[in-house]
Amino acid sequence: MALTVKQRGVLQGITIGAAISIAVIAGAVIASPTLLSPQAAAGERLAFALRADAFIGLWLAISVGLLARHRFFSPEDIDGGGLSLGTETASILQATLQNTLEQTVLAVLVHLAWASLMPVSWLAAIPAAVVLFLCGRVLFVRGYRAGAPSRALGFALTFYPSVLMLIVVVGAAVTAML
Amino acid sequence: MKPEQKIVAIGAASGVAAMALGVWALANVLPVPEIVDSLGERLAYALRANVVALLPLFIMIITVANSRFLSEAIDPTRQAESVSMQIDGRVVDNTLQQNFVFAIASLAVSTIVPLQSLQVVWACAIVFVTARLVFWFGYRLNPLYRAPGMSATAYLNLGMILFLLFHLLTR
Repeated sequence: MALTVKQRGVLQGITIGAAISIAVIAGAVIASPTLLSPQAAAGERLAFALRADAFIGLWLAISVGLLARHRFFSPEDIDGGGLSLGTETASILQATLQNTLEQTVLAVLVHLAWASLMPVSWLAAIPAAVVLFLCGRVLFVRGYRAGAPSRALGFALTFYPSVLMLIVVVGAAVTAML
Repeated sequence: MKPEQKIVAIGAASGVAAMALGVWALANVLPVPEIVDSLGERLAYALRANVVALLPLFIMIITVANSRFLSEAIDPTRQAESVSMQIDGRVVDNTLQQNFVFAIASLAVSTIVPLQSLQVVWACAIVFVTARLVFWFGYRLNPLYRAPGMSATAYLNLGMILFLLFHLLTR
């Protein structure tokens, strides 16, 4: 099956994003900088993940704020999404906010599971994933208007670190149960 | 500034002021938690407050579900929702976003504030619940009146995150 130009663009973006994600997460795990004491209890590990994820929370809050700000300055959108169809800008901000929320939920849950299940020396993967998340979101928002190929890299940098960590953490959980 | 923008601006400013006053007053009135000072205990304390913060979202979801059950919109693909149901749907969406930010921020804040000030997490949760209800009823009354509740929750979350980031970057 021949791919369209757009499909090739998306494929290229997600391939680069996946490669960067694997390299950064694996690099953080291999480098294993000392961020917590090896004897760190569950509370300290979860606190570490939550503090890193505050940056992700900030991005979600900014996304909510951008839409609210747009509504305030747009007479067509000031009544809110419940009562108006919305301009193109409002629709784009709503779509990026929805995608950011989905990615945030996935990332935070994966980071908390990672913090509680993986060795302490692997916890550097969490701030590394947060950096990828923020870079990915910026690229995603900047590229949204230009279509699917332009936002593919941003989407991949947000999504693949979570997927990669989820696979590893589920593997660790299953291994621990056996 | 147009009249609609004035209404929203005044509403937003009053929401932020009421939120700040509410958190300050409640943090001074609520009892200091009698827990062992460990991160696990602090997170458990904040999780309990988060369960209360989830109540508005739960009530909103139940309201939408009941409205659907009792109307033509029982089949969501018919797109037969009334205006109030559409508003409730939007309120649920926004509350889910705000609740998730609140959960991350309040749990993280609970790990850094001094133990004798930890009750600020409960203060934030109570103000959050109140602000969400104000947002909902305001939106139902007139979409422009959603501003106080919206700004109170958004700036409460932003305040907690900025406090946390300030602590992380300056310690």
